[in-house]
Amino acid sequence: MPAEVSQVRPRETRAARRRPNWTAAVRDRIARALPIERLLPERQPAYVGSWVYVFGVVAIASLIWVVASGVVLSFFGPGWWHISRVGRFVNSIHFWAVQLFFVFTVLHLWGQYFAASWRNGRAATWMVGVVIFLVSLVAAFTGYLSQQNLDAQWIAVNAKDAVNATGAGAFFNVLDFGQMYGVHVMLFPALVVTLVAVHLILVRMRGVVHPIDAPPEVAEVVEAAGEVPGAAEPAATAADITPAASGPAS
Amino acid sequence: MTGTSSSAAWSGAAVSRRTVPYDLVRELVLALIGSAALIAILAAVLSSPDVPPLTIQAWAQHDPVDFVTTAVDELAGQSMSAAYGPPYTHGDGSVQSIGPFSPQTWAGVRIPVDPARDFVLAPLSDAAPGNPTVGSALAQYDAASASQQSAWLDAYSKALGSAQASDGHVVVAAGNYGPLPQMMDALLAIARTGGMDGLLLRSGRFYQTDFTRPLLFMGDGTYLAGLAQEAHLLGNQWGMMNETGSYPGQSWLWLYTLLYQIPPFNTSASADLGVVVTMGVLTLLLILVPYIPILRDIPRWIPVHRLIWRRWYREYARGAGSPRARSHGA
Amino acid sequence: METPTTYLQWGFLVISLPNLMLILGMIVVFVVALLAPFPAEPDDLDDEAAAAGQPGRDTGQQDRSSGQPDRSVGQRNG
Repeated sequence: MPAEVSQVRPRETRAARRRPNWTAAVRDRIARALPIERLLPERQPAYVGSWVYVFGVVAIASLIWVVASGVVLSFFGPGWWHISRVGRFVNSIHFWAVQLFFVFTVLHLWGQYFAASWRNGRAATWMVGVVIFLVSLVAAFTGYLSQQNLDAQWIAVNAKDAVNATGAGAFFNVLDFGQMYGVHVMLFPALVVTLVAVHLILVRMRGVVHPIDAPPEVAEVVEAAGEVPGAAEPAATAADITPAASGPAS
Repeated sequence: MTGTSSSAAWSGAAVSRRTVPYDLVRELVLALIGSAALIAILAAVLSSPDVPPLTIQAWAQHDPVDFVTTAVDELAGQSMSAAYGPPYTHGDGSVQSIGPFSPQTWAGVRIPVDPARDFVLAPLSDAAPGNPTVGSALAQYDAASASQQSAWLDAYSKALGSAQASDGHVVVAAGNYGPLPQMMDALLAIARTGGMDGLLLRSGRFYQTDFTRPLLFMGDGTYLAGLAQEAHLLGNQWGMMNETGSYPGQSWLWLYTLLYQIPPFNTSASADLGVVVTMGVLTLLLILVPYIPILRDIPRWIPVHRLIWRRWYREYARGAGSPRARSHGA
Repeated sequence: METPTTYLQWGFLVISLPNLMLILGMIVVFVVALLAPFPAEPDDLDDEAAAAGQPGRDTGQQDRSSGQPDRSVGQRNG
């Protein structure tokens, strides 16, 4: 670098020669994609006003109780709840929390289907939601196999044929209690909770979908942010994706 | 923020972009409290299902004829497990396929089980040291030719069809069964003490959690299936979504269970594979709803959304006529 | 609750009473959620807006006043 150049613009040159900071890049990317005000907004569009919106929250609340009761059950071991009154009660909490979780997950799915909530850049949110439901089914299945009672025995004997027919039985042995219990208390809770977190982040990034037939100004700006696969709209302009334009509702 | 909305040149636009206070965290906390109350009441009042598991001991005590019949089938290679195929054995009795598509065979025998040895001969060998009768019966069986063994097994199987249980023994009509009555009497005695429950779990290691062998053995009998039938748990009873007692079951499996009740699945030997593939396709459709015409348009045709957003549609209509009128007029 | 429950049958359709109650309950909850009025929170901004001749606060997320009308549920997905 010639000396005269560094004398003319010393600060800019040092900045240009500095190695790019990945941490700052990631932080800025996150801050742009989901500012904290949009992650936890205190206002919602006026069309957000129906009990249908509560289904998802109740499903998450139920999931929290499923995990909490499951932690207690796993702490005392799989045999505890068969011989202890307290254990039986905790198992009952687990059982009914799972029932409530599925009830409200399915109600949430019905509600979001009839709202066509995959519109305007929200298809990923819908798809992750369906995957959560599927993973939850397998999580519940491994839970039923981990009960150590007649139900678990029969489900294992009966379900092995279907699992074997797919070829998965060679690696996912429903007759192996240790394997089923392990994946039930570790793998599947982690998967479900992680996917729910991704789902929530996607919901907050995109905001709540606008009513069907609403005029275009109601649709949020994110739909044009160039992140929408398959969008029929033309690509976004630079102005559309600036933080100010896609910023929080405040 | 742009200036166009604050100008309020057209009140409908303002209505359409209006926001209202909304407290997500308070909603979650209230949901946590409400669901906790509901779950706690249900748990306290209704408890949860827990029918004790069947042991091989209880099976042998309650239905010794079924136990011995199953053991003879295992020894003769006639049981479901013996003929199963991958991942347990090299047979093809339970291998499912759709044309050439048979993923069950791809990984081969990954969980090897030898029903005759694992379920009958090995447990008897373990008992032989303390029981000279068993030792000599096993020696006689081992020394016999394969055709002799088959002849004994055939005859004994037929005789078991009209066997009686008496005082902890299975009594059959007199016949030439070789050492089989002594072997089966010993196996039944071991089972009735609970010994078989342990012997079938034996892995050569101290710790084990794999119940493949005892569950396969119990599944080959009819006693466990009978208990399942009483509890409406069989596949053809929509059992997958049922639960023991008076509890709700896995009602979310309703469609999966339904498919087993209808053609072609209810008569197919590869019903499981057919149902799993069908459910896989339907699941893929559900995932891809946003991209599938008709499926993604149904919510537009069924005006449930008019109820979900009725307040907004009403306010909007008040502000600027119908939303459609506004969008066409813009 | 440990005693076997009742099973209802219509043709090939079989369902246990508890499962039927649960599913009917879900449908009832769904319908009630659609029809029941959702409590609106008091909006201090409404008062401010009324004073200023505005119908409420705009959201920056919704700052688009151009583009085509949303004619189809499925067209602009992704």
